[in-house]
This record gives sequence, structure tokens and C-alpha cells, in this order.
Amino acid sequence: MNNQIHQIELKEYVNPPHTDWISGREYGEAKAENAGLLDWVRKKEKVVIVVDEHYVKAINDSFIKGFFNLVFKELKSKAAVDNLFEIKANDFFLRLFEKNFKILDALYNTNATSGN
Amino acid sequence: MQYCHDQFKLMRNLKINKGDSRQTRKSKQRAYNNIKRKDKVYDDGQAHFTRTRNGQYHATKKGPIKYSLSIERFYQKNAVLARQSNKFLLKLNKDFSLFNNPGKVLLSLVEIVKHGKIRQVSPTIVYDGHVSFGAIYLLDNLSYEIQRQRKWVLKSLQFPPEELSILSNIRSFASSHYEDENECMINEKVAINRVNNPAANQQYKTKAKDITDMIQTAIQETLKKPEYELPLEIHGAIKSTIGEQFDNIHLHSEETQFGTLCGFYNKMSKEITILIYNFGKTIAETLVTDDLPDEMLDDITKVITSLTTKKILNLTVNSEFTLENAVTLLALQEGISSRLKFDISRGHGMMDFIQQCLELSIDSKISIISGKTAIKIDKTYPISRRNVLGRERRVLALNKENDIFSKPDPNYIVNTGVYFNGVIIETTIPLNDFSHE
Repeated sequence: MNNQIHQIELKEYVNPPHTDWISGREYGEAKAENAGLLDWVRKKEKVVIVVDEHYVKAINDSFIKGFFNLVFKELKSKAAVDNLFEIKANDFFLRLFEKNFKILDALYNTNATSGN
Repeated sequence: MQYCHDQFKLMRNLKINKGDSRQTRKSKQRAYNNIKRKDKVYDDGQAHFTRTRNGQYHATKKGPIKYSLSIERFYQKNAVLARQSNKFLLKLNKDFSLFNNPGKVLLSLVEIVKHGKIRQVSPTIVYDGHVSFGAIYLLDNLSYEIQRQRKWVLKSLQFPPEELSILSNIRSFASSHYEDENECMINEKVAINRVNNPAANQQYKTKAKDITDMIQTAIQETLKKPEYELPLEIHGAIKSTIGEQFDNIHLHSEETQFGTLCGFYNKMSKEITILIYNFGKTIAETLVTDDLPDEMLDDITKVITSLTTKKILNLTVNSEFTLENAVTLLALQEGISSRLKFDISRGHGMMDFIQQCLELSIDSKISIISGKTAIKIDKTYPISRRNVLGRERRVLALNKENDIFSKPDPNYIVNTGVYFNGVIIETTIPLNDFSHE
């Protein structure tokens, strides 16, 4: 694994005080592309995703799926994604990411025995 | 005939326009007052009327009233179902709701559109014990469309003051935010922006935040705890509901220009209603497209063939469970999407939304109306994980076995008989037993 660590602050994706949540698959895909997420993943660089609950009150499942879609396509398994990505958030958001990672794992991990 | 034509021309010239100065307005008014009553032109939705010299009315047919394309389509598809009566009297009771009787609500929408086109008498709504917000909102919205074309008054009778207050404050035609001691209402007609910028569709996000803020304030007042903060689970559930639906409109209904989003909190009954609707493609039309991925087509064919073999699905017109019903129900299941060709992780949105609403309040009710199909979801038939169509997925089959190859409960998937060209999703979340402290 490369020693380089990138940090993504999800609070930058909201527009306070007008919005406090992140949604949309296309929005997720676009943000992942803009950040160059796939390049980091290919270089095996670690990514820290920070969710500040004072700014971000909700994240839509579609956004997470859009954001991590190409990452799972590349890495194939949740274990590999967990290895590269660290989510810094409260329990609620950790569960949310975990749930969506399991869904993506079920879809892309051909070695998995069962879905979720 | 020349006489009538001149009268129309004169009356048209006397019409007071928005840009007229005060003096012009006064002059026009004075000129209008000087016309004898028998020479004045009267009109309704269908014809101009003038009184002839011998005292009889003389009618000249106007061009038919034309609504927007989507409402015209809704009317044309259902016009034969509307009653012929010249009167329109609608009783608002428990039965008149998108959850309890979607067919009745849709038929009344057709009738009110027809009434606007061809009748002279103003329609009347009578309070009969209960007003369902979603149903009255749709009536109000169509009334606004009619009002743009002709003089239109919706009379209301026997309404208690608090219900009358709600009725009079619905502003379904424009973006609004209204609050008083009875209710809080947030209303937005959301333009669907298809420019090549995913960040452009932010309008509904702002309103969704307003809706959660509204609920938080309501609970703060109820609990008398100004420091109360809405748990993130509730933020997530409500915003997902809205976000998933607008994602669907954006992705699946290419021709749709607007979607309507309304959040309503009834402070008396402590009930939240979120209504999202749009004209455009139905759910079944969206799923069964020409470029449907082969594997998706195989799955749909497998289910439809099985239901037909078991004689659950009858392809005749008057069947209780139709092909559209079956396809619409199938579209709700996890991993079923016309977009799988582009991305195999699609098709989770609707199931997430249903699950989150029921997690928020077990007494939540969701009504999904599209085409002639109405699907009602409540705690009776929960979602469960089943190994079906090649993998484990969340299933909501609306039967005891929760099996998509078995017949769903006809009380929960209804063939309304009225075609709605679009999607209506009404979610009712009661906060009576609210305990998220």
C-alpha cells in the first residue's frame, strides 16, 4: 500500500444554510470523478472520508452507491475497500456506509457466498 | 352574426390588462358600465353568451379549453369514465384518500378537469368528517390549472374552521411556506434540471431541509424542549424519501419538466404528509423499455409467465390483477431497474424509501399510484430478504408468503381503472407515539 493519505470532507458537498444533506447517484459519481477517487484506488493510496454531523444531517443511499460504484468495480470486494477507505463519522453514518458497502459487495464480489 | 362579432371585439378591447394605467382602467370600466346589460357578453368554459334583441340568449361556441399537455393526456385517457351530471359535489371523508380509495380520488380529478372544460356550475366540496391532505392537494393543483383558463371557483361547505384554514392556505400552484397554529406547509414545484451538471438539481434539497426543519420545530413545541434535535435516522428517512423520488424523475422521466414536492404537518392530528408527484411515464412504462437489459427481461418474463401459468395474472382487460399491476409491483423489488444495463447496483431506491418510512413510524402509510395501479404499503406486509431471481434481495410481495410468484393481496394492489400518466407517492407518517428522544 502507498503511504499517501487523502482526506475527503463531505461537509464540502453541502451548501449551508440551504442544504444539509447529500443525495443523488449522479452527484456521487461526479464527486468521485472530480476527486480522482479511482486514480487513488489504483495507486493503492489510502482515503479518509470525514462526515461532520453538524453540517451533514443525511446522506442518501444513492449518493454512496454512486460515489463508490467504480471503486467497487475496481476492487471487487468490501474487504478490499475497507482496507483502503476509512470513514470518520458517528455510528449512524458508519452503519449507513456499512449497509451500502454490503450491497455493493453483494453485487460486485463474485467470490461472496451470499448477498448481505 | 356581425352584431355578435362586434360585441366580442368591443368586450375584448375593454378587458383590463395588467399593464393598463389607472386612467385607462377607469376609462375601460366606464365604457363597460355604459353598455346595456342585454348587449354584454357573458361566457363560461365552453361558450360566449349574448342576449339578442328579443331577449333570448345567443351562444357562440368558443374554442375548447386546452390544459397543459400532460393534463390533457390524463383527461383524454379517462374522459369516458366521468359522469355526465352537470353538478360536481364531492364529499370529503375517510374514504376519500389516496391510500383508502385511490380510484375515487383519481376519478374525481378526471371529473373536475371535465367540469372545467364543459360545465357552467361551480363544483362544490363538502366536509364529511375527514380531509386527506394528498387528495385535496391534487384537487387544488388541478383547480389552479383550470383557473388559468377560465373563471373557476371551488365552493367549500360545512368545513370546521381549522380544516377551512388548511384548505384556504394550500398554495399548490407556487412555491410557498406557510405556518399557523393548525398547520405547517412547505410547497415546491421543482423544475427538473437536465443540464450536464449533477449539482444543478439542488432545489428539492433545500425544500427537503425545510421539511425536516419543520418537523424538528413541531416536535420541539410538542415536547416543550427547544434544545431537541431531530435524530439523524429521521433526517435520513425523510430526505431519502424525497431524494430517491427526484432521482427517479431525473433518470427515468426524460420528458418531465416539473415534479411537485409538498411537506405538510397537521398540528392537530400530529401527522406528517409528504406528497411527491409528477406527470410523465408510469412506473411500468419506465421498466419495460425497448433497451431493457436481457437479464432484466428474463427476470420479468419469468415472473409474468409463472403468474400467468398459475392463473393469477389474467391478460384480459377486466382482470382483477393486470399485467401493469404485476410489472409495477415487480419494479418496487430490490435490484429491479431498467437502468441495470448501465449499472448493476441500481434498483434499491424504492425499497430503501419504504423501509426507512416504516422504521421511522410503524404506522406509516405509503401509497404509490402510477398508470391504473395503486400500491398501498403499511405494516401489514413487511419487507423481508428472500433468495429470488438468482440472488438474495429485499422483497415486498404484498402477500403472507412474501413471494413474488404468488398472488398479492387485492386490497393492497388495486387496479383503479383510472389511468394516471405519471407517479404519485403519498407518505403519511404519524407522530402520535413519537418516542425518538
